[in-house]
Amino acid sequence: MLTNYKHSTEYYRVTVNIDPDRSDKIVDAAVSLGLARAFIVRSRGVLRKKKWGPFTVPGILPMFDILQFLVPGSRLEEVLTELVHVGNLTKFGSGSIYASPVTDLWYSGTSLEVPAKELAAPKAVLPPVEYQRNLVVISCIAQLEHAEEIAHAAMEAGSPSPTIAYGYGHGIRDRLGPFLQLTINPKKELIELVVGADEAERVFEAMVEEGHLDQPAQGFIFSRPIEIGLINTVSFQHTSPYPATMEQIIKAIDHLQGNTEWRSQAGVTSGTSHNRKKLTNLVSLNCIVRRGFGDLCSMVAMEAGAGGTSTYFANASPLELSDTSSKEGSDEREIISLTIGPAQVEKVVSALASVSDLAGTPVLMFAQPAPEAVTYLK
Amino acid sequence: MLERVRLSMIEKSRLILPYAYHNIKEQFIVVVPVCLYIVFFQLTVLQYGLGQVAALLLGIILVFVGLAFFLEGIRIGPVPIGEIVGNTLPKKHSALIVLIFAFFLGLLASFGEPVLGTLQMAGAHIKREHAPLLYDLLVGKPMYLVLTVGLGVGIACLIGTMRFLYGWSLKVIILPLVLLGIILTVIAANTPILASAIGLAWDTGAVIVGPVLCPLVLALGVGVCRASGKTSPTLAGFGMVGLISVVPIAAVVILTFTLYSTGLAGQPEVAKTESQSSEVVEVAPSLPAEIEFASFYPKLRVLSLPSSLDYALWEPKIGGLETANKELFLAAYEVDEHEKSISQLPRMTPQARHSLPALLESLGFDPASTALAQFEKVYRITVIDEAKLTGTIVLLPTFTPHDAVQARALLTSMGWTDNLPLFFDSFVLGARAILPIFLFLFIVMVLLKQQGPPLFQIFVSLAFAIIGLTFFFFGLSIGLGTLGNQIGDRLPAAFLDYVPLFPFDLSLFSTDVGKVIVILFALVLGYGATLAEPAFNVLGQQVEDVTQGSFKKSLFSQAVALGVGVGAALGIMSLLYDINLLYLLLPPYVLLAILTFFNREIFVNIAWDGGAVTTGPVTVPLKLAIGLSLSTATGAGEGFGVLALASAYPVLNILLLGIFLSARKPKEEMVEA
Repeated sequence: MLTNYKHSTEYYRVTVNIDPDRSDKIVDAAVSLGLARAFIVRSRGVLRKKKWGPFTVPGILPMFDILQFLVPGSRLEEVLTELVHVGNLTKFGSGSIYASPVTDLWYSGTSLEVPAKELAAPKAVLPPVEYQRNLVVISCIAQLEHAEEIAHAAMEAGSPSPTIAYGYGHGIRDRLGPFLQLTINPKKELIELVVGADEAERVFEAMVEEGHLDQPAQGFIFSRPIEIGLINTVSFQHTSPYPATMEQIIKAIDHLQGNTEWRSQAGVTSGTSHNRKKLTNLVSLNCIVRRGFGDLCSMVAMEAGAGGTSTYFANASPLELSDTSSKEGSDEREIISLTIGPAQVEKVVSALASVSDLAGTPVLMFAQPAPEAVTYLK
Repeated sequence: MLERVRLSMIEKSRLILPYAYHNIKEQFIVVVPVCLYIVFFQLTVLQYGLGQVAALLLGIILVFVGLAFFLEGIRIGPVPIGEIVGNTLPKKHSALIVLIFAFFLGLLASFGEPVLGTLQMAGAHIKREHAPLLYDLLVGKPMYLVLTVGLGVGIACLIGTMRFLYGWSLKVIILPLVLLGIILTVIAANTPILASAIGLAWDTGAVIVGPVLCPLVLALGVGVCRASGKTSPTLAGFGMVGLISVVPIAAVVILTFTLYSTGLAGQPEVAKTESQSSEVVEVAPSLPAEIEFASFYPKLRVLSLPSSLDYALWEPKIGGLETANKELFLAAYEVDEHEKSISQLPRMTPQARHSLPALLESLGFDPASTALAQFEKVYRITVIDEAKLTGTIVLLPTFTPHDAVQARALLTSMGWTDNLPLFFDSFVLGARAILPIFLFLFIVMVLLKQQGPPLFQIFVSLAFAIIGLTFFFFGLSIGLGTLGNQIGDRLPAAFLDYVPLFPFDLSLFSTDVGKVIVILFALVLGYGATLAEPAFNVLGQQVEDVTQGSFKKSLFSQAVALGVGVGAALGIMSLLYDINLLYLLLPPYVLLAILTFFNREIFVNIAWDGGAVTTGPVTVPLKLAIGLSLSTATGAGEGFGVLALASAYPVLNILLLGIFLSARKPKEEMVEA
């Protein structure tokens, strides 16, 4: 359906969530693995404690680099294991890594952003890592200054490690006149978090409740399945007087039980509106372009029928190891994320694909399943 | 094109009202508390009634509404344009072009900064024989100062941009600059005639980064950082604001050296020329009431003002002393020359007070008019002839900027409202601050063939920015400025037995208690007023944005505002106890240098930037009014340097915060799960 575009399936979107001081190590490892580019989104974590000691001022929240790679399915475990070892991600509080399936992948020309399915030099065999399965990633776009409350609600409901990044929203704003559109701040906050599948429902519900996401102009929330992952991000920041923290103990029990189902036996199932009307079986489409073309992509996608888009800024990691001293910040990208019905995919994808001819810039798109979503429905 | 959605009026108002409410509320919660605090303090502690309540109220409302408009205007227009230009320029053109652009951006924006004028206005009360150099810098040849500061800002922008292009650390740049400033200051301090200009030099550095420079420089910095990719994204755009506050210090000290050594200014023997146009008329000594009066005030004079507009210009306000009014000051100065300083004047006896109405009547005023009731307080000056709007001022011995406020009070009570020209002035001031830099940016953007925000949005932003600044300046002059002056006039009564404006009152507290109360007042005022500073809010937002919200604006605000409070209190202390400014300025700066050296880059950047933005159009008039009033009352110094202190301590605060956090952060000690 798309001329000049390459189409692939069986890729995974691998996300690594790590302290910015250590993200270079992961990027270097990815380069030596032949993983092409990583897209680095900077974000902040959320702490359980909102205020600082006796003061009413907020503390400084930890920062995270969210690294995104596209990895061929055939090499997923190999890549993940290597990254886990390089980043020491089995250690408590070191960060998270998870892979979510990509059903379709399109890229223009000879894009260097997508790694080949096979790689020449196989790496030395590393000890196997025990991954968590049955995980779900929940993404939520919320109005500015609402995100932290929503993230806290998610933590209360059992999510270990929400991250928040600033982004820009397109949607109803662009359909208003030139003056009225000034009244809506395009800036939004994007929350992303990973939970066990059995807790996902509760966390999802809690976030919708807290953020009134089923009300008009409040935001959008959707979940994506995760194939495998390892979640070790912490959401507190203090030196505990005990040899192990509560999080560590829970994690140890998780490990012994082999799942997180035992936690729901605590009986904290939320009794709130389960009959909420949800959108089901949507497609989460991501489009990565050079910075500056994001607005164009959003307009094109909306003309093709997308209700709205959210955009966040990312830096593309260098392709070569030689330039490790700097992160090459000039290689800026925009990641445009939109969630649409399966019937719309073809039209929106071809519309977005036209951007590469229109503006002469490479375009990379990938689709992922989004089984559940909630927003305001008319 | 996307299909437009048509909305009904109700739906439109549902969009516009929350938008307006949100923006105005943000400013309301920072401006109103500090005003309430001043009013509360004045009514309870100082036991002094509030004058001109209606004007004050209107002024305060205009201040926060104006701020809301201005900040929104800046956010939607110049900031995106600045960032686009800063991002495109290094990609398309050589580093030289980028640096030239940065230099002119700094230069032009510094001319637009309104606060420098306030310093010049404050300089109006300086007596040439006390501090000839300071007088020449501020009053005699103000262009030198303006150009030097502009040059300093331009150079700072140039250095800052180079830093972003090549990824230099701020530490290695700011430390030598601060050192240079300190060395020059110490040298200057040992030359008596230069010493007087030290406070001014440091104050200039403190006030120069205001609501115009700060957002533009930040936007430029973010753009250049993005393009060069040499700076960590967490630091994007930071550091330049701090440089802008440091370079002009050295620049102004060097200017004083140059001017002095070349004999262009500061030579005490330079004869003062009598202005040609001022009409100084001796009051005929034959008036019976005058005889009694003359025993206290032998040089009663009548001055004539050219026009009402000039009077308004002359009024102490942001924007400063206009050239048209110099002769007035000369005349006032001449009168004062033969008098002792204000605090040494004898109290007005009941007889003199009694004779005042008769004196005025003999001068052609109606003693029964409401205006005369004011004369019990404002006995020193100022009656404007109601018949001719050209106005006549009766000058009693001294004429300081303070008197102008009293004059205004009097004028208002006489129904002679000159708010219209004042409003017009505010507009001119606002447009002058915004237009050149706006045009410059716009032209550069067009030359670069870059797609910026839609044209309509740029126009709205320009309109918002000018409306905002007009409201803001006008509100400042009729609201916050008046409030500052009222309390400034009254504040010495807390500890001084004799207060010029309140000759019949005794001090409210014993000297020591009174001084402590005044210092505490300054502490809280410094803290509160800083929170209302527009540039400070812009920077706080930038800190939050660039760190992806991990370093919250409110944390930054509290840390910085607390520092300003401490600095302001120390500044006032130096006036009350006549402590040499150097002893208060140098130790913190030496400490700053050490802490800067050992701190993490991000805190160094945020700290120096934070210190630079604390003193702006809200704090400066308030603090200067108080500083000048106290320095007049105690006879200590010129009142300069107080502002510089208020920007040293916030830097210290954030650097300490950085050290604290670094010490607290566990170093890679992760436990095996």
